[in-house]
Amino acid sequence: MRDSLRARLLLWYSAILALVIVSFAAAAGYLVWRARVATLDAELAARADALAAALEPATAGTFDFAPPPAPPGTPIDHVVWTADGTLIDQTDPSLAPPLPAAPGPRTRAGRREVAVRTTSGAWILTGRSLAPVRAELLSLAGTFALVGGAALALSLVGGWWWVGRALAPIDRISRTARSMRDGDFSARIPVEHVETELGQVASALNDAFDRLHETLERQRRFAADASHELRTPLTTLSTELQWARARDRSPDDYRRSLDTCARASARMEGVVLKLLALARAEAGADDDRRQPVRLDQIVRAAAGQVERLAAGQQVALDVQTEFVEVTGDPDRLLEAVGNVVLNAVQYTRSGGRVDVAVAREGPEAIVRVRDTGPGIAPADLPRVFDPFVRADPARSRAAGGSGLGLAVTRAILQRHGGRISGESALGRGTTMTMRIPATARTR
Amino acid sequence: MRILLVEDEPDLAGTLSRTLEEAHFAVDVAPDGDEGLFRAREIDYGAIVLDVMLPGRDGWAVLEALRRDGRVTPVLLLTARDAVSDRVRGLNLGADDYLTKPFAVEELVARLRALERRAAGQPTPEVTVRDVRIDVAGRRVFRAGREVDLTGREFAILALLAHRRGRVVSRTTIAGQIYDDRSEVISNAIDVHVAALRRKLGAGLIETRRGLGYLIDA
Repeated sequence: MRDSLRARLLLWYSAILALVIVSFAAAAGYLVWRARVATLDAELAARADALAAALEPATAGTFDFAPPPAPPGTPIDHVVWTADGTLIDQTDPSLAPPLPAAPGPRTRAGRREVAVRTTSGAWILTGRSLAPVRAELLSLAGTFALVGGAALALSLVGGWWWVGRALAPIDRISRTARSMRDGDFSARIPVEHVETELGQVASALNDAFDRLHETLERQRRFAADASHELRTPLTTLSTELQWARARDRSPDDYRRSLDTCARASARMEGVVLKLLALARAEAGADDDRRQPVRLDQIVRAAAGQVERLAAGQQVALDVQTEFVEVTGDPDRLLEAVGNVVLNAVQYTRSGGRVDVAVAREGPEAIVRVRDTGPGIAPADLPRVFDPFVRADPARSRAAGGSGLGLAVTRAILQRHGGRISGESALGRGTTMTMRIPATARTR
Repeated sequence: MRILLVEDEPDLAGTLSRTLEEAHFAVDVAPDGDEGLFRAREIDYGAIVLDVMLPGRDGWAVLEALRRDGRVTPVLLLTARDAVSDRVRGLNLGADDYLTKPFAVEELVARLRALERRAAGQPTPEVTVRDVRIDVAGRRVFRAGREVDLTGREFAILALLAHRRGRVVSRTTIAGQIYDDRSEVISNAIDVHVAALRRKLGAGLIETRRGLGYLIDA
């Protein structure tokens, strides 16, 4: 593919170069030919005039024609006829030219001839072979062929090398693309000259590869994490069942076994439900369920869901609301807010408090959930919205957390044009802020 | 054989340790990597069952630290991922075997026994000493072709001595391998088990080296 591109480029380029060389040679040859013939014509005409001058007195009286001597080194032949067509003089009988039809120059049998008619009606024809001019032109053509051929060959070789060099990045690009196809997602195109067009293509491709790699990595991590979250309780379940069935157990043992199995299956159920919620939120197939939603009512409902849990953990739960309306799917929004409020209550120790507030700030509805929990380390804060990332794995698992709640919330908010961010201080607590575009309605 | 189970999920740790105990292993449980590493350094376990995904120090780090210490305790990794790269990584770090969750408990037990045999340089699952044949995998003992009924502890002691034939095994080593750290060990319990073994398998099989321990002669 690349070699054919290289060959095609070179073919076109060489064809054009050859055409230029040939046209130049043809033009030069033509000009030289014309100049030589013009000189020849002038010489022949001059000789004919000299002969005519020598002939004139003779025609008057005696018939004594003594042609003037020819200029040296120029073998000009001549033929002289009288007005009635009688041949009276010729230098070379083997030429035997016919009587000219009209005066003027002509080319005949490889010779250039000029015919002149004297005032008395006699014909004078001077002529000379064109062979020297032909030889000169041939040698000129030979020189052109040699020099032009050499230039063409040089440009072919140089062009092959140069085009190859210019196209080399394509080779690197396709090599890299091939290793990507073969599963090496860390392969990148070596880029040396970013300023060239291909260099820009390469760096654009590299950027695309980076993004692709990142997405794949995230997917891979997600799949691995999801499988871990499901495989561990699955192992518990199968091991426990096997243990219980291995022999007769006491009622207490059976009860304990069933409890273990129930916990394992509840955990799997939680993970599966959250995974489904995440898939649903990311697919965003719920556009048709969009309607004006009172966010303050959603927040009250979310807080209501955790009221008993908070009371049981002796966590004070305070809710402040004002009228805010957004557009969205009420069930999804309740899930989004509910996850954050549940997290806050679960992570807060007894005696702590959770404050939930919803308010309108400019064009946005803001929900703030502030807790007095253990807080999140600054390094972990940006990651808590990723699937299966837990700030405190042991505590989260003990509380039945799937590690997906905040990921689901983020996905739902993104579907609603909103976002979530967090601030936290270790040991003092965490504030999660959700923002969703509000409708214009204020009451 | 005494094994260390490093698993952070309490339900899984509980059910696994109960199952392994019924398969006559002495099991200690460590709920995270740090404690797992601490225990593995303190106690000479017959094998370590190590979950890879642990809070704090993960399984890879525990394994790496152990091997850096020069500990050769057989390690079986429990992974929740079946990616080849994970398994290769584990084996390259010095793991002896791995299992992917979910697994059948029988397989875990069989692999632990295989690790035990390999560690003792005894790749076959049967050991024969004079007229006594010990089927380690099946946990059965035959004397002159007739099956002999042994308790779990008795079998554990017999298997340990048979694996280390020709070498004296101290009472401390025996205690360390057959009891987990929740067992209350009575001071002469091992002597009582050995006496029972002699009664069932003949007095000459197990020799006593006073002040050193016991031995099955090669």
